[in-house]
Amino acid sequence: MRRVLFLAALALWAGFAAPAQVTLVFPQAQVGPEEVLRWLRQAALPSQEKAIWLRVLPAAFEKDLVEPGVAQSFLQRLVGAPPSFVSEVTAIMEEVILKGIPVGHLMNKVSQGIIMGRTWTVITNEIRLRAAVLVATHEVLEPHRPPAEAKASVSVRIGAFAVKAETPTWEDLVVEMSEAISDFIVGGGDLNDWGGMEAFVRSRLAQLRGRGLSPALVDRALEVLSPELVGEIVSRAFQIERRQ
Amino acid sequence: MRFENWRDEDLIRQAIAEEIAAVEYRLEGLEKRVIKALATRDPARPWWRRWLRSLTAPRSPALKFAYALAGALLFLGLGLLIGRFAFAPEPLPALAQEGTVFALAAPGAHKVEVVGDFSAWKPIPLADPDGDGVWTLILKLPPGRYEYAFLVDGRWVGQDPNADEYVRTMGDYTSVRYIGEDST
Repeated sequence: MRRVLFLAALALWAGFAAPAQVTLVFPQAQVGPEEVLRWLRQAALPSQEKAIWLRVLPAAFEKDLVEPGVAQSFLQRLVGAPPSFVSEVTAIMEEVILKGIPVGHLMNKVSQGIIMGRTWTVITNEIRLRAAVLVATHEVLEPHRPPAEAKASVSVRIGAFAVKAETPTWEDLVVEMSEAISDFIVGGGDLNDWGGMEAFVRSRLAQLRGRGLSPALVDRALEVLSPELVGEIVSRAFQIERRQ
Repeated sequence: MRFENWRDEDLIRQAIAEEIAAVEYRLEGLEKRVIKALATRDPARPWWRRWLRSLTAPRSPALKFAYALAGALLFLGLGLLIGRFAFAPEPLPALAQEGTVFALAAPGAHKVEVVGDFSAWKPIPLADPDGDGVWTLILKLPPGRYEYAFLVDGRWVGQDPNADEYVRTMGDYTSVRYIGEDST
């Protein structure tokens, strides 16, 4: 009888626990750089590209150019992709990393394109464009960089999950500005409409003020932002893209 | 040992039977007495250990399986009723206190997931515990701008009605949320 009561109590608990559940998730399981590199060493990637990644990734992790979890997810998606795609994407990423520019969002774009089921050509073309705009934005904004900035990070951990929140830096602003320009172009905006492009970027930065970028950083960027500056970025980006 | 004749052997058998009959009353209920003695042999043992042991100790079935099953189903139904009315899902604005709410109405869907740059575009499943066709998920996200989309039975749904804006990427829409320090 006691056994039956015990089972009944379990059934009762299962019954009211089911509708009461709230799904609360911390999105990224934390992966360490060493774990990613260990995985990469045994990954089924073309040997030439694998050697490039093993050379550039440790520095990228050290300089915080990409989070290990993002890099691993991206590299896992390259496994099984056509060698020509792996080669092109690797070359694009290597160039960006060697310039000391954050590359995590580009890796995420590749992952996004693959999960959307886009063709390798479509993904490569968009990544090439975004990388060129990123490098051009970095170069054009470099003279406007604030003299010094402190960086701190806070990691919120619950169980196996962790979310890393860092003080946004000038490089984060560069990434956001370049992404805004790329979104304008990819979304069908006129390449010669520098005024429209500048307004789009200004609106994006205003949205990010205090929500991903510090107000001081955004204000600094808005001071220097002009249609001419955006035009310079676009012109330089297409020179870079033509060279690739 | 061999007996001289069968008569002697019968006499011995009869004597043994009489001996057993004389002490038979002492064997009555012996099994129950042994079980009881075993159960109480260590009164110093904590009550919960004795209770746990009693759950796993072998015993004769005292209840028919059909009755036990009916009882379990009754309790399960009772639990579901209590859960449905006493622990009804909170409204979305209340859930928003917990984190960023991702919700999508997809009646009839078998699986709804969210993919986004917050998870390196790895799918995270949404849940529809009350079966009303509204799938929800709460994510704890640091401040920032996040691009995401839903996968409804594997189909890309890039325009979330709750998004702050949309961007076009690789020929399709992607939703965007801005998360602030105090906003969700």
